[in-house]
Amino acid sequence: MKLFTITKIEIKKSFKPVLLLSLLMCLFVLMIVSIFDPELFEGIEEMMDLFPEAIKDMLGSALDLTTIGGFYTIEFLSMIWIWVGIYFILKAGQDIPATIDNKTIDLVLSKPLKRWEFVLGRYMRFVFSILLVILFIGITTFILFEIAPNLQDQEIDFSEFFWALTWAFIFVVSLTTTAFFFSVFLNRKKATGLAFGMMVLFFIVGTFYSYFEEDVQEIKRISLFFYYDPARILVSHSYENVLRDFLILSGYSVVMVIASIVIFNKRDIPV
Amino acid sequence: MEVIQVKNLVKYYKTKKKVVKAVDDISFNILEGERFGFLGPNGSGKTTTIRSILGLLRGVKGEISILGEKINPNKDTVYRNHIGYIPGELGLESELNAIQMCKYLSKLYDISFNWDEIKNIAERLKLDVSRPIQELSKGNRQKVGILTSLMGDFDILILDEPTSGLDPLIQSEFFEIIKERQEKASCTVFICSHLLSEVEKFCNRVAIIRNGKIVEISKISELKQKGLKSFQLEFTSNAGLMEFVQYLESQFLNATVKSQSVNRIEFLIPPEKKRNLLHDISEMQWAGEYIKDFNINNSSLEDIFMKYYEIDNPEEER
Repeated sequence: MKLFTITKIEIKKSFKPVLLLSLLMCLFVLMIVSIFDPELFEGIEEMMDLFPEAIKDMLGSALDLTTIGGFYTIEFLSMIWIWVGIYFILKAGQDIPATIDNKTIDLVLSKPLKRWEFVLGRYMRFVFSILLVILFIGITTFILFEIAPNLQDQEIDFSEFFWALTWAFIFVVSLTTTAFFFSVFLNRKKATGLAFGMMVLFFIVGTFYSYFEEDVQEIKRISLFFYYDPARILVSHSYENVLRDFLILSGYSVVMVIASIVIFNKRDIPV
Repeated sequence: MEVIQVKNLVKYYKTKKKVVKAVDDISFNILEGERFGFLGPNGSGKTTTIRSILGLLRGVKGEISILGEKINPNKDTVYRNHIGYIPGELGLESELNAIQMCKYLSKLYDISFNWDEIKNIAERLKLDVSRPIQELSKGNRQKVGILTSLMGDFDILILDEPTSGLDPLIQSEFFEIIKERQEKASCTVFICSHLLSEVEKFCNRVAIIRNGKIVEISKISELKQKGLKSFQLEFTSNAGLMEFVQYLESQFLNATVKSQSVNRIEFLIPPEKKRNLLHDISEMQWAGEYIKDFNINNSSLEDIFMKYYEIDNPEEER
């Protein structure tokens, strides 16, 4: 299928930067694991209790710096939208407009290639790239958990980390899909700007909704951040509503991709 | 057989403020093996027509048939297998070189291509296939576009300003390559170009499009026959020339002076006026005395094109 050809070609083209991002994230994980010290962080945790609630909300719903799960959540997973998400939002927001601006789209679409194949092929490249980054992070995390001397007395449930990372993957994909959706009908600047705007809006609504008037607090449900809370698994050791959140984030991505295909299929390819 | 058949094609661009009639109810046919030129000034609707045929535009009304089969460019894609295409504004993957670009597109198009043939064309076009496209000049990038359009087999070759940025020697070589390819593969060529002299030499038939409407469509030879007549007169003195110019201006209001020097003048008049002018030249007293030499030609395609173009630019009319 041409869809997979496009995906393969696009992955190849962006392989180096994705690999670099993966390596940086692996180094970041290495740093997190290296500096983790439960005794040291006991003191810090007491200090953090004095922090305003808003800051604590931003770092995660459940704070626990004395376990590697809590520390990993605060330092890495709760911020994955910054560490990994921003790169993919930037790329996805520019994806289709770039092919229109540099005119390569004419050569591609003037041959027997259906537009849905073109859109889905390019989108799948992001899904696989994000998967690759998370895979690198996951493998590094598991290896380090096995060999790091400072973690030997920690009780680590690998399956919890597996599901938390899977959640992070689905979450980053949903953010990227938002940017990709805007890219099918807006220019680079507008698509990227709107995607970032949406992300910030989602973040504010999904994180600080408890500070809103009580009758508007339900607005939290429109935010993707509301459906992403790895601390629930890694700190609270609970899987309550995790499947629901997986499905909502995945469903959102599917709907946005279908909408992207429909919109792109109806638009002119400008000269 | 009609290889491309376009009937009542309409494409309007709607903006917030106005509706632009890019292509406004045009119809034409291109026959098998023909070299068909599509001429018009910028913004006349040439590229929109091509992009409508290729399914790059939406909201297109009218009927399009390719190789005898009616197609819906918004849904059908298989017909594009039969088409080789050079876009008017060529976009290439800048980090690749020409070889990699061809390989990339062959993968994407799922076609095989004869590498020796492509290499041979590259040599004839004096293209360095090993240099990354981002390091190439506009002309050399265009050559890469030519290479990619000639990959694989096709029945129709659509060329939108294919010689843009090429120097005259390479332009001539390009047309030779296309002719050879056409003879070998008996394909049909549909070309939009501003190089009217080349179109005149290369094409069998042309259509002239203006403001989204086809204003002329015929064989080049017929077009030239019914086109303007070009008179070149040489006078024995400037006084004779000035007297003739006065006469021309008073009697032939639609004459277009192409060039004028001290004792020479070249002008165009409609073909139906030719007889009157010849009569007057032979009858009038200054004719025998002042005119040293004269020559009558069919006007070139460029003259014919310019005549249509002048209607859009009345301030340029003489």
